[in-house]
Amino acid sequence: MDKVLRNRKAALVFLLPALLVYLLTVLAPILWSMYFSFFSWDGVSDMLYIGFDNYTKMFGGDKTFWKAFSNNLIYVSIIVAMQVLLGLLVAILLTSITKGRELFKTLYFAPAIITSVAIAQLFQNVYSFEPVGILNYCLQQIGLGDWSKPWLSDLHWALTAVSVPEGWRYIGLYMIILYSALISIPADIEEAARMDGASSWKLFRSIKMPLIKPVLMVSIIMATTGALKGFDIPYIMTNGGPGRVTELLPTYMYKTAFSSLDFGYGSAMAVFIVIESLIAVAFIRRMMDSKES
Amino acid sequence: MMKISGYSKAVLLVVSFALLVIQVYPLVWVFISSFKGPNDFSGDNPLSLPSQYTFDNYFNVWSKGNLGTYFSNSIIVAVTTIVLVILFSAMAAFVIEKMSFKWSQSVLFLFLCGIMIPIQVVLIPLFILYNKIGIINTLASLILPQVGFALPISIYLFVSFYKYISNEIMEAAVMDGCGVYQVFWRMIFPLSRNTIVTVVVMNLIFVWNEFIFANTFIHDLKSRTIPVGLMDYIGQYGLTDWGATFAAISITTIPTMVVYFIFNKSVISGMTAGATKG
Repeated sequence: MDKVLRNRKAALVFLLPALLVYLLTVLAPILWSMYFSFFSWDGVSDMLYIGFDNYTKMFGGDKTFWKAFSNNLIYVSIIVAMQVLLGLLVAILLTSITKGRELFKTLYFAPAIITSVAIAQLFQNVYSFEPVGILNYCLQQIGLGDWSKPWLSDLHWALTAVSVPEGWRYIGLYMIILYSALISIPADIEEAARMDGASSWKLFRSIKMPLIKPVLMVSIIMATTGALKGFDIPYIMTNGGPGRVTELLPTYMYKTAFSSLDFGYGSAMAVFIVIESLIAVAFIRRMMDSKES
Repeated sequence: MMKISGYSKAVLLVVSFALLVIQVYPLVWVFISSFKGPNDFSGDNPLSLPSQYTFDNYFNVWSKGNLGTYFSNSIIVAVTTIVLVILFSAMAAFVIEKMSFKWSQSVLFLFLCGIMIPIQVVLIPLFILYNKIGIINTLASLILPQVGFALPISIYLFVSFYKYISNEIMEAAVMDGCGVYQVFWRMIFPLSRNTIVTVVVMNLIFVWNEFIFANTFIHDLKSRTIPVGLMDYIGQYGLTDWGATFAAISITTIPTMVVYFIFNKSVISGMTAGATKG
């Protein structure tokens, strides 16, 4: 048996296709990106080695980069709050419903399976001012007509407006993850707490929350890294505008590379996006762990 | 289960129903609006039902647009990508989990790193590479990176399943004279039917909806896939033909909806596994 399974040639034959495609399309490009980030290059003329110049420009002189970075933080906060908090709220609601739970879960998850292009177009219509879109129409109907505005071109609201669709589409995903965590809590723990006279809120805060904390942490990490790579919806809805109020690092990187044809500088930003994601994960882990002790 | 009674129970029900409406109504609204005539879009009540149901929008997008081409491109990309992902990831996972292979844990770790990698970081190098080898504007430029990015989670799902297959049944097969290839193709691969379904439906949804690679590597109308094709209806100065847009969204979402409603457990378990590993 061992002899058969220790067949080196077969192992190679089985492993090679996956390994090759993966190396060539995922791992090697990261190294290439790092390499390109030390050059000035428009993709046509000769590559010019410029050392860390792209990075000094990025951190030092580029106002748009910092604008995109701070926009990204707001974008991430809105999305994480929507996905994890609303996801948790719905998960809790779901544990208290007896009928129709499966149907509820199925429907709630549905937006996650639709292409971001369609979601961007749908929300373009929701936010529309002229002709009046769903949001402005509802505001008018409930007597808040003064609040209606062209959300996507409003300098103060555009960033929030492009963040909401991304948060909205995946609430169902986090709801399901947190729901599975909640129902895996053994019933006797809950009963014991009830016997001791714990209220629902107390029970949730001091018993359920600590028990689902690992899952909660994973959800926050996922939502954060997901939002840090957010690209499709802002790119399609506003393409960074008006001005730069909805510019995010991925949209800025994309435009730098594929519209301004500055591949070196674009690569430096791409490298930053990876490092940023890694730092975010480490930071969240640390915060959640230190809270425990 | 939480025991909540009376007044708070009613509040909970109202809240959950309100949230459900916010989650589902926009999708239903797109579908209803796809039957509206041009006059219905200039009205001042976007929530109104069509004054008269019409199939004109569907007729228009199908006959005037390139939707047919986009559809067949999307199907080719989806089928090829998924077949390759299934084969490659099932074989690789078999080596990692079942064959006595020295580096298996390092290889698995290498693959799992891929779950964390943002797609944006590979765009520039792949664009340059594909330009050089001349596959920009071909469907191959969409299939290759999507196979690469689907492998980590697919391998993870296969590895988790293979853990449950006992070595004894493999031993029995070897006693009967099976070689390693036969053990895999005749036994392990057919046994993993449930995992295959999960990997297929999960990737089908990702691949069908993929936008960034298609938007970056394809400029030719003939090689466009559905997501990029959906942008056709946005005219100059941001004027959109909403009837056509909603009809196009409805047509192109039907395949994923059908798959989702048939296999929703597999879709959800695949996506949550992908998410929680990250």
